[in-house]
Amino acid sequence: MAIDVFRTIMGGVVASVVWFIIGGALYMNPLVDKIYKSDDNSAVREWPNLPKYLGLMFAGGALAQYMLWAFVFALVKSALPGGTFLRGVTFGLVLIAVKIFPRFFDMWIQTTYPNKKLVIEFINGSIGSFVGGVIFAYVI
Amino acid sequence: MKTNSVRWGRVIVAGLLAAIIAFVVEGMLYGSMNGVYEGFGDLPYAKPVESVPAYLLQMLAGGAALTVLIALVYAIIQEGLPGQKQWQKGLAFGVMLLVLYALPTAFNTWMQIAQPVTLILVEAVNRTIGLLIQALVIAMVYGQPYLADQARKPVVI
Repeated sequence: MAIDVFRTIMGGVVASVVWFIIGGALYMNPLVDKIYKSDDNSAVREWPNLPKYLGLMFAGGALAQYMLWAFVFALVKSALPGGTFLRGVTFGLVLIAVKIFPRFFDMWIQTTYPNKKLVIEFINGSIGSFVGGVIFAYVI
Repeated sequence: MKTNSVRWGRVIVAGLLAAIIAFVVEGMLYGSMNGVYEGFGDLPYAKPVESVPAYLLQMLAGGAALTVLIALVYAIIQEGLPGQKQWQKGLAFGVMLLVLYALPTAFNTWMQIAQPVTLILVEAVNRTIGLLIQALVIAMVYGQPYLADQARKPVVI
């Protein structure tokens, strides 16, 4: 199957930028920010340099990740059901099934990472999965 | 793909079998790495295990549920995966799981958990091996033609 490399890269870039903005709102709103700042847990890695942390999160947590996901979407999109929007939603569900759920389970069963943060990250990760899936569906 | 073309029985069998095999293999891998973990002494991020049998049972049960979910994903997307033979599709699916889960998880763990980098790498390698095994088992089990389909094929004498 042929992959349109340009559209795939565009899809990855657009999804990563959109997610970074939405993710910023989801994580840095007063309610969630308060939970993250109030929790003093030795399991959590500390990043005193905020610009460095945000730079790494964008480069690795958003751009690289969504770029990889975009290529997977381009590969399997023909097998996804329905029209454009439904394909995006289905791919979002695929991401939740293979990444969000397993990560939640691993972190919960093996680490002392705070449960509140796990739940927040499960919800936000699921939102990010649907955001990425739908953008891929319309761009790629 | 239509959801009514998903063979749900096969999904469950493939998922459960893949989970058990990966559980055994990963158990052996981690068992061989005990010395590496002990070298780091107390790990503050690690949840204490009060009962090893209960922990292993939780890992197996949770892992089985998640692997059945992964098998369902395979059932849905397999037609889009490259390869003519089941093992080729399984390998492609394993690489897909690596890209979708193992690599991002290693990065996110490094960003968020106070875990030594050596252990993050150990777990990334073991997770990759486990995912490849799961993907291959799922593809081989799910992709086998129905016996009824075999019976309908003309017999050439």
